[in-house]
Amino acid sequence: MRLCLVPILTVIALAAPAAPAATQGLTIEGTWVQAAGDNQSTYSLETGFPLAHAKIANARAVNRSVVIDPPDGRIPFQPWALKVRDGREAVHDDHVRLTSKDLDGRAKCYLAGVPRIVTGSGQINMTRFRDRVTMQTEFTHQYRVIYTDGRPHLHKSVKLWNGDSRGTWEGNTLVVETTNLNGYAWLDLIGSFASNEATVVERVTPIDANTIGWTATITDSSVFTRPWTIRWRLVRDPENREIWEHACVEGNKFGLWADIREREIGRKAR
Amino acid sequence: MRAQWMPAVAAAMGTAAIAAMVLGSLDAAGQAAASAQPRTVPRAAYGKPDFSGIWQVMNTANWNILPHAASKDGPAGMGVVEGGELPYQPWAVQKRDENYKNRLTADTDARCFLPGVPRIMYEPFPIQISQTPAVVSMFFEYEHAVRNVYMNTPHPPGPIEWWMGDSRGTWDGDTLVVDVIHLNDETWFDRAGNHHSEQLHVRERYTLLDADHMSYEARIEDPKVFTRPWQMNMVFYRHTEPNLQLLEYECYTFDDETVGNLAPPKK
Repeated sequence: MRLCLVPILTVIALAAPAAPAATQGLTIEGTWVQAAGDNQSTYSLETGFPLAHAKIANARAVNRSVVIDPPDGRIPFQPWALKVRDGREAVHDDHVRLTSKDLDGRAKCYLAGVPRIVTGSGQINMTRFRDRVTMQTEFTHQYRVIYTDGRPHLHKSVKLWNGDSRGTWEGNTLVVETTNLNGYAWLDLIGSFASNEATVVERVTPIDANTIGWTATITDSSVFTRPWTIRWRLVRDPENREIWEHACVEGNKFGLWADIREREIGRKAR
Repeated sequence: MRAQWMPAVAAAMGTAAIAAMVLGSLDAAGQAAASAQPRTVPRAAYGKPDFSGIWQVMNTANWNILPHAASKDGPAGMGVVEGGELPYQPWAVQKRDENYKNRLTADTDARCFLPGVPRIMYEPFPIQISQTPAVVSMFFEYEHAVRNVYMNTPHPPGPIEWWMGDSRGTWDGDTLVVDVIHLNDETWFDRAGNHHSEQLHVRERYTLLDADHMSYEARIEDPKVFTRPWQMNMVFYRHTEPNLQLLEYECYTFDDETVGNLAPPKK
């Protein structure tokens, strides 16, 4: 696995310009939130954040894809995979036809996976240490530990919701390669997905003192026709808030999933 | 599992016993000389002990914090509570007994819920500590729990009932002191049903004994449940396996996984 990824990383490294002087002194450390007006991409990576959903979230509707490659803004699904995704989308807001199997893991308080842990979370804190970068989101108290000490990935048998991440620094840009994903977490609310063979390469770049750019390139030949890339921005949390508790599982006994399970198994699940 | 723990436990206890005997035999001058020796503990650039690393207890407190024999519930243990008894108010003993009867369904371990503080510290899973002057962060493999111990800052005003409470840290010399309040009354101290109320107040003391051992003390105060404060003590051991890292224990996803609801679609 590691060996076959080397060419990809090499290409990226060659394509990436040396850290421009303008980024000197900039850092990805600190507490960040979604940039206002950006695609709240947890809903649909391809089409954005529709008005109906924006109303629920008390946010602005955004009709824009975060997919920057391919240029048409569409995820290059293989035909069978597109059919699966569209099937999920068709029932995602139909609370009568929705089953546990077709319900977004976010509604079940499951870990978000990569890159959705970043695209789908409000507040993110990142701290750089000698051998690692820690990342935590207030939303469902998720964390990632991204080792930058050159250690190999885990054995391929160890599959994880948030995968296994290894980082390298290119100037102030953190480049993260994630493998070992279990493929359970969807990429957005309408059912876009990758498999447990996916590799995700993220580039986290400070643009100025209060903005970072984030790209994620997803490679998975079992689901897509080609690698594809999404891009979004985070802005520094002006209040630099502490991370407080967001206990999701513990409070989820009255949510949508509880209703679905009651229908499926004839009783309240918890 | 139990058999594998024994040699290490015995070795650790042996070392501690020998150290206690040696220290006990020193006169006052000897003690002063011993304490003047800098302990070989890792230190952060800002001079304080560096707790960074992956730690785990080697005890059975998660099954029962009091001394207990082995049972179908789990392995035996000498207990972690000073004096081996809990000063319950009479009503709270009844509640404990009721909890014990319902333990296989009512405990947070059975419900896959966050287990609270101090219990998260002795769940039998690794803990990764990262430290800056402003915050000591603890990541737990168990249900991806997180504690952020913000240093030298006040608790937010309550009332708040968080599963993991609100933790604020200060330094007492080389000891990290953590004050924890704003907890709820739904978590227990162990699987045996030892419990507390939302008035629980935990004062923790973290002290490095050497590079790979850390003393953990938790003073427990809860005027609604106990007649007096009490304390638990234990040792954390550093994981020294090369490249060891936290994995995931997403307890509440296992049912969904078992019935096939999570399997990615195939061609």
